[in-house]
Amino acid sequence: MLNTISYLLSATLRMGTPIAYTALGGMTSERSGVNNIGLEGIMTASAFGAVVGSYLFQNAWMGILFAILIGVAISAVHSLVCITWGGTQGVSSMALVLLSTGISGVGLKALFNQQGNSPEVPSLPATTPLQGIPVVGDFLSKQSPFVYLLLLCLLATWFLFRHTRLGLRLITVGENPRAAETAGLSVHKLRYFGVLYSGVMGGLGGAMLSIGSMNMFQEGMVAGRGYLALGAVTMGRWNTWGVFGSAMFFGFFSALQLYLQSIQVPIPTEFIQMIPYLATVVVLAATADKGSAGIAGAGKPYTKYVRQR
Amino acid sequence: MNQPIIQLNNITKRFPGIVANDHISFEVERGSIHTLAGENGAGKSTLMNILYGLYQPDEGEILIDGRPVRFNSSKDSIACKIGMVHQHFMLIPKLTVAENIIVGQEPGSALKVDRRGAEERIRTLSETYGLRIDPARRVSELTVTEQQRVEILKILYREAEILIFDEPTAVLTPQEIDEFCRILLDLRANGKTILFISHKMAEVMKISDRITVIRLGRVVGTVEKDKTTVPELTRMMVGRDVSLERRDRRAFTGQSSLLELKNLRYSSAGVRKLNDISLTLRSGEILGVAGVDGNGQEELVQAVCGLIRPDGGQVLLKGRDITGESVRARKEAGLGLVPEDRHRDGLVMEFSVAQNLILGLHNHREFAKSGVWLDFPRIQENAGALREGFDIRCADVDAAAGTLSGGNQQKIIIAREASRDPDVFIAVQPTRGLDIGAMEFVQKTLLEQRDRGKGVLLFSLELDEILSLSDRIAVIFKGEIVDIVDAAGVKRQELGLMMLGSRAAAEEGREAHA
Amino acid sequence: MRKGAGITLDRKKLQETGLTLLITVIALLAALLVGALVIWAFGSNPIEAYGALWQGAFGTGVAFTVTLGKAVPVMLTGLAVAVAFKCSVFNIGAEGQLLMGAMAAALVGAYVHLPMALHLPLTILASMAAGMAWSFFPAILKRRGNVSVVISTIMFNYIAQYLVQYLILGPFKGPGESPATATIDATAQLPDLLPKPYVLNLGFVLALAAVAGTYVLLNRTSRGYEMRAVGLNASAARVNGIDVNQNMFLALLISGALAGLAGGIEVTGSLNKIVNNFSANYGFNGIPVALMAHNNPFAIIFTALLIGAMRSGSAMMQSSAGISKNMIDVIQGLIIVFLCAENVIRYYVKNRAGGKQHA
Repeated sequence: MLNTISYLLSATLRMGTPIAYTALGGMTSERSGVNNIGLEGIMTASAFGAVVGSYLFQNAWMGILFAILIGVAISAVHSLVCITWGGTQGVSSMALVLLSTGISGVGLKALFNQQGNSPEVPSLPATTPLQGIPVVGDFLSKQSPFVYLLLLCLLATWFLFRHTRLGLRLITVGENPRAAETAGLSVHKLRYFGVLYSGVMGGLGGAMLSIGSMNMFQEGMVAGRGYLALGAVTMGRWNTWGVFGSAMFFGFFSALQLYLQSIQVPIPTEFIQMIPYLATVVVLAATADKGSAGIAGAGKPYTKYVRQR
Repeated sequence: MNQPIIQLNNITKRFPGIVANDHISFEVERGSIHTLAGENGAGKSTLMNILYGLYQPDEGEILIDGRPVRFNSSKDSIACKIGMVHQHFMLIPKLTVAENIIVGQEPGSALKVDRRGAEERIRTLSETYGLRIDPARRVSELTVTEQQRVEILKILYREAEILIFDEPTAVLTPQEIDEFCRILLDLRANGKTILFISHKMAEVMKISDRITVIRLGRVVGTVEKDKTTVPELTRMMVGRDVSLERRDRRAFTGQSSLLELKNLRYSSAGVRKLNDISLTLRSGEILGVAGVDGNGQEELVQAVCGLIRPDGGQVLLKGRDITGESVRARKEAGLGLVPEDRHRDGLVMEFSVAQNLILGLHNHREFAKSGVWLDFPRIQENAGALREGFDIRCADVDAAAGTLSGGNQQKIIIAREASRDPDVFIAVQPTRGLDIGAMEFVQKTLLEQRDRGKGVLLFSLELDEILSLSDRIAVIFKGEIVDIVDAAGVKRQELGLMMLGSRAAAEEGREAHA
Repeated sequence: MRKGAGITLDRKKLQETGLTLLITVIALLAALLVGALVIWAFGSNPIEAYGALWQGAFGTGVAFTVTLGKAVPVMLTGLAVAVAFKCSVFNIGAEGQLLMGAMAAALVGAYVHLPMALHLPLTILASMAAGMAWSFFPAILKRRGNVSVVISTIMFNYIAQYLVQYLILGPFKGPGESPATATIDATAQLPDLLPKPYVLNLGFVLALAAVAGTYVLLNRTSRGYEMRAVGLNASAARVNGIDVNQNMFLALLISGALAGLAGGIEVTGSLNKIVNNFSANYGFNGIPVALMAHNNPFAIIFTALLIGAMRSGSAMMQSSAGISKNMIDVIQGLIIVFLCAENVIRYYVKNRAGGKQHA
C-alpha cells in the first residue's frame, strides 16, 4: 500500500512537473495578454534541443541551457508574429507546433542520421545527496533535480506577480493594454517578456521530458502535454498555485496510467493509455466556469494606431 | 504678457480618408481652464491624443513653456508634466486603487513595490485636492465618480501640471457635474492648467476661462468666456443655428400597453443588478430611462431582449409572456433593438451594407427562398430601398459596413430595425458619438415611430436627450426604478437627485407638480 | 454616375483579391527562402533538396497523379478546418476525425457486403458519420460545458489514435501477420479515373464536389450567412437573434464530417485497409491549407495541391538530398508565420500606393 502511494506520488511529480513548468510559462504569457496554444511546439523543440546540448557537450546541464535557448527562440517567433506583426495568436501557435516538429525531425536526421529517436545522451543525475535525510530521504533522492528547480520557478513566478514592479505592469498590460500605454508603459516590450518567459519555462518542461525522465528524444514524446499545460492554466484560474495544482492533477492521471500498466490490469493497454486524455476532457468539462472572464485583454493583438471611427 | 504654457502651431493629423486635424493652432495660458469645444467627430479627441503623445502629428509643432517638444509616446508627455483623463477610464478593475495609480511609476525597488508607501502618498494627495478615496479598495467596487477620482489622482500622482479631461461629464448627473466643476476650480486654484473637452454648453460657460471651438478638424475661433454667449458658441460649433428647445409633446391618453415588465430580478456574480423592476411601455409614447451609467441599464436591456435570463419576474410583449423566449423569437414577435455599442453588437463590419441590412432577417422567406437559399436580387433591392429611405451614404450597398462613417453605420442599424416594423423599439444611447446631422436624423426616426403608435424605450446617459425626446421618464438607480415621472414638468435638478437614488426628491417633485 | 461608382468598386475588389494573392505568394517565397537557410544550416544543399522535391512531385506523369492524390485528403481536411474557422471554431482535431472516418470506412467496407451502387456510398457516408461523431464530443463539451475546442479536439486526437490502434490490433485485426484490418470489398473501392500506372481515383472528384458544396453552404444559404456572421462578430450575431452556440456546434459537426470523408477516401481510394499508424498528419496539414487559402473553398484546391506536392515530393527529397521529410513541416510552419505578416505587408503596400496617389 505504502509502496503504491509512494509510486503514484513519485510518478505524479515526474509526469506533472513538465506540465507545471510549461503551464507557468503559459500563464505568464496569457497574463501579459498573449495566448500561446503552441506550448506543445515549444516543448517539442526544447526536448530535442536538450538532447542536442547534452550530446554535444556530453553534459546534461548544457542540455538544459540548450533547451531554454531553443524555447526562447521558438517563443520569439510567436512574439514577433503576434506582437510586432499583429498576427492571430491561435494561428501563430499552430505554426510553432509545425516548426518544432519539423525542426526536430530534420535535426534528428541531420545530426544523428536517425529517424524516430535520438541516440542516448547524458541525462540529469539523481539527487543522491538528499538520501541522507531521515525517513523521506529515500523518496526525495529519487526525484529529478527538475522537481526541485520547479519549486524555485514557482516561487519566482509567484513573487513576480505578487511583489515586483514588472509583475504589476504585466497584469496591467494583460488586462488593459491601452491603460498601460497611457501610463507610459511599452505594451510591446512587456508582452515580449511574457511570451519569452513562456519560452524559458516551456524549455525547462521539454528538457525534463528528454533528459530528465529519459535520456533521449523520441518523436511525439511530448504527446499533448503542451495542451494539458494550456488546460492547467485555465483550470488554475491564472493563479500560480492553482496552475501548479492543476498541472499536478493532470500529472496524476498520467501516473495512474503508468501504474495500471505496471500492475497489468485486465484492460487493453490502449484504453489505459487513453486515461490522461479522457480525464483531461472530463476534468475540464467539470471545472469550466461559464462566467469566468479570464484575462480581459488577452488574445487580441495590440496596435498603437487606432482609427477614431 | 505671460508665456503661454501650451502653444499648438499648425497641428495636422490625417487618417486614411479623413483629415482629423487641419492646421490647428491655439494657445493655453498657465493656470487657466481652457475648453476645447466641438461636435462629435470634430477632431477634439485626436488633438488631445496628440498632445498626450498617443498619436504623432503629420505636421505642426507643440511648444510647452515656449520650448518645442516632440512626443513619441505618452511617456514623453508624462515627463513634460502632462496628464490626461480619458473618456473611457483606463483602469484595471481587478487591481486596487493604489495599484492603478502607481503603475508605471511605482515607488520602492524593482523587486518590491512599496504598496504601503504608495497608499500613504495617495491618501495625502487625495486630502490635498479633496478627492476622497480609499487607496486599498479594488476598482471593481467603485462607482463612476469614484473611478473618475482615481483617474484624476493618477495624473496628480505623476505631478502633472497640465491636466487634460476628455468629455469628463458625459456620464455624470447634474449634481455630480457640479461637484466635478468644483474639483476643476480647486485644481486651478492649486496652479494647475486644465484643458477641458466638452460639447455641453452649460458647463463650458460655467467654468472656462477661454474656449477654443473646432469644427471639421479646423479651429473656428478662440474666445474669452466673458465675451461670448451660448448661441454664439453653438453656431461656431455646428455652423448654423440650432434650436435645443424641448419639442412639443402631445398629450396621450389610454393607449394600450405594448411592453410590460413585472418584478424583473437579476443577479450576476453575487451582485444584484436588477431589483424588482416593473414598468409599462404604452403605444404612442417614448419612455426614457435615465440613470448614471452602470445602474442596471445594460442588464435591463439584455433581460428585455433575451440576452440574459432574469432570476425572476416577467417580460410581456403585447400581453404575451416572452420571458423564456430566445432573442430571435422576441424580435419576430415585434421587438426592435438599436444596441448601445454598434461596433460590437450592431453590425458585422466586414459584411456589406446590404448584408448588414438583413442581419437577423436573413432566414425570412423574403430574403431566403424556403428559408434556406439566399435571394440576392431581393437582398439588393431591400438594400437599395433602405439606403434611399434612410439616407445611408455609401459608395455602394456592397461596400463593407466598416468603411462607412459612424452616423451612416448607425443609420444601417436603424433602417434594419425599422424595416422589421417592430411594435416596441428599444434604443440604447442611439446618438452617442454622432454628429448633429445624424443625431437629428436618429431622433426624428424615433419620434416617427412614436407617432405611428409604436412604443419606444429610450436609454440614454445624456439627460438632455432624455428630456427632449421622452414623454415619460423612468429613473433607474442601483437596479431599481426610483420613479417614473411625466417628462413635461420635470426639472433637471430633480432628475439628477433621483439618478443619485433620492426618493425624497422624487416625491417632492411629484408634490410640486400636484 | 452610379455606373462609374460600380466600376471603381469592382476595381477595388480586384485590387483586394490581387493583394491577398500577393501576400500569399510573398509568404510562400519567404518560407521557401528561410527553409533553404534551414536546409543549408543542417548541412544539405537547398537547391538540390528543392530540386528533388520538385522532381518527386511533378517530375513524371505518374508523380503528378500521386501529387493530385495526396492533395485529396488535405483538400478535405483543409475544408474541414476552414468551415470551422469561418465560424471562429478552431478545430485542430481533424486528425482524429479523419482516423475515425477511415476506421468506419474500413469496417463497413470489409464487413458489410452489398452491390457497389449501395456499398460504396454507404462506406463513404459511414466515414462522414464517424468523423462527425468524433467531433460531436468536443462540440457538445463546448456547448454545454464551455470546454476549449482547441484542447478537447487535441485530446480526442490521442483518444482516436489509441482507439484505432486497439481495433486494428484487437477485434478487427485482418488475416496475416501485419497489424492491419482486412481488405475492404472491391464493391467498396473507389474506381480509378486513369489507367495504371497512373494513380488517380474518383476521390479527387469527390473532393472537388466537397469544395463546391462547402462554398454553396457558406455563401449561398442562410445557415452559411449565420455561420459567417458568428465568425466575424459573435456578439452582433447574438444580439441580432442568431444562436451563436448552435452555429459553432454545427460548424464543428460539418468540419468533422469533412475530415471523416478524408479518411474514408483514403481507405476506399488507395489504402483499402488501415495499417497501424497509417495517418500521416493529413489532419494537421489541413491547417496551413486553410490558412493559405484564407478559408476560401476554391482557393483550397490550389493550396491543397501545393501541400500535396510537398508531401509527394518529400520522399525523393529525403532519399536523394538527404534532408528529412520533416522539412516540409518546417516549410508549412514558416508559411503560416509569414502569412501572419499579412497586416504588415498590407500596411506597406497600401501606404506606398497611398503615397503615390498623394504625389
